Amino acid sequence: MTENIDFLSPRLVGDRFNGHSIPLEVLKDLSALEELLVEVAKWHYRNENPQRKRIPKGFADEVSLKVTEIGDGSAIPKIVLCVSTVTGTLFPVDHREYFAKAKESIVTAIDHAQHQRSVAGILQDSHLAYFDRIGRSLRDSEALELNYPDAKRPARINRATRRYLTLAASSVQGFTEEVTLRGSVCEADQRKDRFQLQLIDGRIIDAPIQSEHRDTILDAFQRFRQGVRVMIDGVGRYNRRNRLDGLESVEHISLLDSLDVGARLEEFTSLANGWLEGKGVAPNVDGLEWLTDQFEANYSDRLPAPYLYPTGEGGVQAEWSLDQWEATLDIDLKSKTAYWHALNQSSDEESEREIDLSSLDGWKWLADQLTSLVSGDTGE
Amino acid sequence: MNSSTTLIRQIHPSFIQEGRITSQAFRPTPKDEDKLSTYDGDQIDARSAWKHYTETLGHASDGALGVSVGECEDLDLSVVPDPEPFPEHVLIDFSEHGRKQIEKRSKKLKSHAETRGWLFQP
Repeated sequence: MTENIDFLSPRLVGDRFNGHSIPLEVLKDLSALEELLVEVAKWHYRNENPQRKRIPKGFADEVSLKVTEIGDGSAIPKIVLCVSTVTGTLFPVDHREYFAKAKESIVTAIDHAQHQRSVAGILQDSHLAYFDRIGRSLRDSEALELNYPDAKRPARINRATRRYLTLAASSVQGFTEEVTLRGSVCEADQRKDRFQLQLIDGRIIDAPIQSEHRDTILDAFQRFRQGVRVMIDGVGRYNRRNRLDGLESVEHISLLDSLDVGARLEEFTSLANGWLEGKGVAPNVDGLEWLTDQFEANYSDRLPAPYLYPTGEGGVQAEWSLDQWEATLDIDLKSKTAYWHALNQSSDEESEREIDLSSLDGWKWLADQLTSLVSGDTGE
Repeated sequence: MNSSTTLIRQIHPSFIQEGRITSQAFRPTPKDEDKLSTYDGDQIDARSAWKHYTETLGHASDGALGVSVGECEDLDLSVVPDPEPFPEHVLIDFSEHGRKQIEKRSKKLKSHAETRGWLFQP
């Protein structure tokens, strides 16, 4: 027999959680949260029962956390504390008390992290290490509000607070974070099952060769000299100075097209002001990320891949050579607008237009133009 | 300098992707007052121009392409010697043209240059 007690209703904030759905990868974060709650509950038990050398047998086994439903609105998993009512022990422990204290300690620690205050004494170093996994799947604009609906003290776990909490443990050398990286496989050691990934900015990091990815990694390694690049989704290991040291694991790896938009735009992040005859303006990194996302979301793989170049004014120019047509799209990363110009080299027929790339209509217009140039039907 | 004179234009490494050159390489920027800098091929060869550009001026170039004075004039672009920065300096003047016309001319010049091929690559 078990008794279900309402325990937590954390709120997941972010576009991915709209429609009260929770991606499976986020469940790993909640699983790590359960582990932390058990450990902190044990710690409170030990603190209040110093005469006891050991945690009562079955302390954790008799308790578990379960998601019973997902609330309306944003994704709010309702988490209950399931306590076994058949303990078989002479001195049953009231788990609820220690789990409630554990929850309070964790909420307080996260709240302190949010305000950049010390968490010393609230949780132990060993507890703080759990934050390396709790919330690791959260992206930049996402958060897990553990103490929802308390608006004054939401205990918001996001990239910043989990990093703060992980690094608050003095013994921790760094933290991990889910990353997407592009680069070339410049070394592969099959004896050690490790490979070296040369990032687009030239840095080289170490990563494991997992059996499921071995063929792709070795294929990319064999074609390193031809400039073949890969894209990797995995868990990155950062040092205390926020520098990526390597990959802990690789979830997905794929070979990239030679004209991959993301890889090419990432190259432009290394340009500094003055790059072109002392006057070229460096493209804004946020703007380049925005453009990468826009191409990913709004530019079909069926369209011809663009050639991309930085402009001296800090923008990006996309270009296509399609039969007799030379088309260019001069993109202003600040205004998110672009100037289209196409010229038929044989007939001198031309078209030009300003388009808004912050709207889907702009991207649709671009797709229509390119499709018509490819098919030879140039009527607008 | 006459209509058959080759005007040597340096190509920045970022202006080449997978061997393809951007038409920007032949488009002046507003900062340059719509005038494109080149070297007078009658006064300096492509290798020496590249050496001057990269070593003396300290700019980046993956090589030199060229267009002729006649090709510029056919596109209503005047070619003007500008020896102030250095004696072989020549400007292709786009300033009489609007944006659409500048775009068209830069694409045309690129096409001429590509037909001619690299004059020098290190």
